[in-house]
Amino acid sequence: MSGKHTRYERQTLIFGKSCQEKLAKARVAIAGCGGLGSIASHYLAMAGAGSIRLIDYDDVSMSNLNRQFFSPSEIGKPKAACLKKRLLKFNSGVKIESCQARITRKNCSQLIKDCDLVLDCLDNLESRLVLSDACESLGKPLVHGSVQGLSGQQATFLPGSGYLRKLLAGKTQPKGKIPVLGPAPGFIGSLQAMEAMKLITGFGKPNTRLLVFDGERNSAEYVKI
Amino acid sequence: MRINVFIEKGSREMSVEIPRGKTIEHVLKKLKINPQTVIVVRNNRVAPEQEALQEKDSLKILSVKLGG
Repeated sequence: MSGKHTRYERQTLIFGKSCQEKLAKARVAIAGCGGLGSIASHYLAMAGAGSIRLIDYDDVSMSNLNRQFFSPSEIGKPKAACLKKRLLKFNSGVKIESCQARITRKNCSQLIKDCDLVLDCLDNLESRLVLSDACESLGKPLVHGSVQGLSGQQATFLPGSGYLRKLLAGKTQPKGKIPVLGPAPGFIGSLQAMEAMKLITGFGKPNTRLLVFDGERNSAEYVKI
Repeated sequence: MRINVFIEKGSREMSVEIPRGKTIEHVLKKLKINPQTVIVVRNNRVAPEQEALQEKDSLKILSVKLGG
C-alpha cells in the first residue's frame, strides 16, 4: 500500500478516490492567516488540497498566540510565510504559496482569479467586502467565517447568492480590539475547511445558510440569508 | 401588536409592543440599538431593517462578528 494511499485512506472511505483526485487538483485561496486561516489551511493541506495560496499582510505578534498556530520564535515574521513553512511540514505533497499582501480593490481579483474557491478568514469589514465583491464578479465560491468572543458564524456564498453584501452591507467595524477565545476560530475555521472540501469534491451539500454558533450560551442554528 | 425579541448582547429576551405595520428599524430605534452594529434575524431568516413586522414575529438581534 503506497504512503499516499494510506495518508488519505480515512477520507477516501467517505468520498472515494475520484474525489481525492479532485482535491489534488484544487486551487484554494485563503485570505487571512490568523485564527481562522491558520486552522482552515492545516486541514486543507492535510487533506491533500493540491494548491493553497495564503494571503496576509501582517506579521506574527505576541497577542496572536492565544489562538493562532504560531510560536513565540515567529514573532515579527510574516504570518503567510510562517504558515507556509508549517503546512509543508504537515504535508510536503501540496503546493503552498504565501503572499504578504493587504487585500485591496486594486489587487484582490489578481490574487484570487486563478483559484477555484476562496476562504474569507479576514478580520475586518472593509477587506471582507472587497474580497466578497471580487468573488462575486469573478463567479468564485466564497466560504465565509467570522468570530467574536466564544461565538462565530459561517456561510458559503455561491454565484448568484448576493454574497456578503447581503449580510454586511451598511454595517460598521466595531471600535477597538475584537475579543476572541481560541476554540471559536478553531471551530469556525474547521467548518470553513470542511465547506471547501465539500465544494471541491462535490460530496455533501454546501452550507448556504448562516450558521450562528454561540459557545457562551451553547446554541447553534442555521438561518436563511 | 407584540413581537418577541432576543438580543444576543447581554442575552436579553423580551416582548415588545409596537404599532401595526412598523418595521425592524422601528424596533431597533425603540431599543436604542444602532442598526449598523447588528444583523437581524426575523423568523429564522436574515432580514433587512426596512422589513415590516407582523404580530407574534420573532426577532433575533445578533452582534456583527468580524474577527478572524
